Amino acid sequence: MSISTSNCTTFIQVWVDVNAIQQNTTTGCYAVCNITPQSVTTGMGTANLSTTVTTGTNVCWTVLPIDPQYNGDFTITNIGVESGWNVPPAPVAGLPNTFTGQLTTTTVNGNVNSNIAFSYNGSGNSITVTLPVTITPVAPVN
Amino acid sequence: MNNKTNSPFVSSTIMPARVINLAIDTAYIYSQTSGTYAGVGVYMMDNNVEGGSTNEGGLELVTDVSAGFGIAFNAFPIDAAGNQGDTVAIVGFEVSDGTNIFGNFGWPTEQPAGSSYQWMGTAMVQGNCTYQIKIGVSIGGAPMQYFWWDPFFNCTA
Repeated sequence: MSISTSNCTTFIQVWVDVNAIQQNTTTGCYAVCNITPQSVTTGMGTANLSTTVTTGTNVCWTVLPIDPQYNGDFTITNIGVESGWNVPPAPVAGLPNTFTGQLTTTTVNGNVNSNIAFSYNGSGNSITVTLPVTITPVAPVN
Repeated sequence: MNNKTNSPFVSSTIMPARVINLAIDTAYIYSQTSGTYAGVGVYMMDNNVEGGSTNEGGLELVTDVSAGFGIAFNAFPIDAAGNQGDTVAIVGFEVSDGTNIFGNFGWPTEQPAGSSYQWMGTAMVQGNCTYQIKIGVSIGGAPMQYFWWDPFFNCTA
């Protein structure tokens, strides 16, 4: 069972322009997170987000349309790779566009792959996109 | 709950050709000095990057529209899916330089609560303008603080 979104403190949103996305490209995808300071996060509002998150943090990923009345649906199919997680990212029941997971509780050397693979199904098309997202775990501040 | 905006909404009968979305890092913005804003923490994007809009993802979005287009505006906290209790609201617009592309009758108006678009207007006059968009931000139920900045419209006939 995945972590509830209400228990998360780090949020990564991907806003998608369905007029622009194409198979296997990231045009029209804009990733943001709620860790704005530029000393720890780069690529805000772009398709190449990299951020720094405290170890043990619950993280929530959502993929959302810029136009809420778009025709179709988004489904996250995978987040990252298996290593680097205390609770591996998993879909939230009833919300196919949402995943949650818990970052490793030990500081790891290097970065955690948090790439977001999602599909858009609408107007008879199915488009899959993998958006690069990198998380660097850091120890909690005492 | 609607999984498209993390909140329930009633579909609009009008389908605007342009939708401008504001993703707000509420806790960061709230910590800044309210008023005219030129920093980070506000991320604007529209559904027209293929049609010529520029500066997507930043504070100074340039949206290309054509006269007659409906233009919708939404603003959401980046932590909207959580339990932080943060809120963002668009509270007003002003044209600060250039042509008022909304003319006398297309000025954006606030839509009823629960609408799929929070504010909506219609481009009616060709030209270019700098406009101010003003938002209110609250975190954890604290009193709202207000911020505004200057993105752009290019409206062709």
